[in-house]
Amino acid sequence: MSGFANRTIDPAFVRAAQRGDMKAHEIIYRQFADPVYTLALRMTGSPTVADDILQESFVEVLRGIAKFRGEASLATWIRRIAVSRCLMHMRAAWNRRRLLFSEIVGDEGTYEIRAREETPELAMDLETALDSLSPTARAVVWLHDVEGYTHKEIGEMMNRTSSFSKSQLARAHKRLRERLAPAAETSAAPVRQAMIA
Amino acid sequence: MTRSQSQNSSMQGGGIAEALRAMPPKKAPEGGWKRVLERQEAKQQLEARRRRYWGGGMAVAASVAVAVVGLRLGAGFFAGPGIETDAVNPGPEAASFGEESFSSSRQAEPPPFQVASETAGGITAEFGQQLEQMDMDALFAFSQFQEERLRSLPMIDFSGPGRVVEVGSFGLTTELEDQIALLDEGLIPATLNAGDEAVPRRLLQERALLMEDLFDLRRAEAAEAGFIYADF
Repeated sequence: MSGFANRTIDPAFVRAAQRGDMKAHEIIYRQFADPVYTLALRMTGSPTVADDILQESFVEVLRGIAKFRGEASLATWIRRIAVSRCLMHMRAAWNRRRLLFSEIVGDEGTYEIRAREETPELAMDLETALDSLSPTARAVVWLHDVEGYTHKEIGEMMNRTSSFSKSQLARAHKRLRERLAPAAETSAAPVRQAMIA
Repeated sequence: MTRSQSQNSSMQGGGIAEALRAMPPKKAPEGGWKRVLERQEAKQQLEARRRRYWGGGMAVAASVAVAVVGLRLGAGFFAGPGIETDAVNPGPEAASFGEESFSSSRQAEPPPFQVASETAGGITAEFGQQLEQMDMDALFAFSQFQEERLRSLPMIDFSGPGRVVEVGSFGLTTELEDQIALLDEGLIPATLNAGDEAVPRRLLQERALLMEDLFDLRRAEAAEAGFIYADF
């Protein structure tokens, strides 16, 4: 999980931050830094990029909190900023070329090879299996399964259709099952049955 | 029980989504708040610089560069492909540059020779070849045309917090603006008197490419916001 749902903050700190109280800003940062970092790490797969997105997100929180109207929770608002930053990273010019390459090669290309090299044994744990997905598929899986965004919302965020999100999710689930299956086979046969079902 | 076994066990109950939700959160790196404050400070300085550069007398350094080589080009020597705007918010730049306000739709005059007649889908090979053929005077003149054309677009603030739909374009726009400013404020002036024309010429060509990218992005943003008609 990213942990946003478990984080609440006293509205008095939000109001203080809106008045420019830097101590309140720091409290908000400390409350939400881990969920933002987790989200960014899961979506991008890179600790360095996730750290960068964490900082960018909170710079935006610093600047924008005065306009925060409280219609959604602060956690929802911060998560939205973080997701936006992750997608912005994915669409950056240099990263697009990498994504294009992975799309040409296919999910079974570079990411699969990398994952297999890192884990020569057939079994993958969930984290490694998630990292072995293409960035787009990984982002869709995380946004849908963990953060609870709908396919329509994901499609809009990625400037694609909801069908795109659905197909990405279905393919990603299939690949995750395939990659996790050998582990289940060796450790517990019923797990494999549950995943393949 | 290993972590992998634990995760696999959780999948028995509710499948992959549940297992993903059960993954433990990660700890953010230490010292993050200090770095946020440093980045905020750096961004403020950069934005102040950008406002000075792109606001008011836009592309001051480019004008200086024109003066260095003694070019005196009449306004409108280069004009772009027809740009039709709704002029919802042309920004202060239009007036400050001594142009008429865009209070109504505007059709720019066609260029005396065809330059980048079609760049809507990105920079074309033809455009690159045309740049290669331009001498220094033509490159400076073309940069003036590009600035005027860019200024004719309505200014839209896509940087509001929490925007999700407009991902990507804001970051890319600022990146391009920074690169152009870097060329104008440092690299191009520094090489103009070096004796070898090839270096500033190459930098001016690079500037022209960046300006095309910037124009395409700004135009796409404006079209999406409904401020301009898309077919120009």
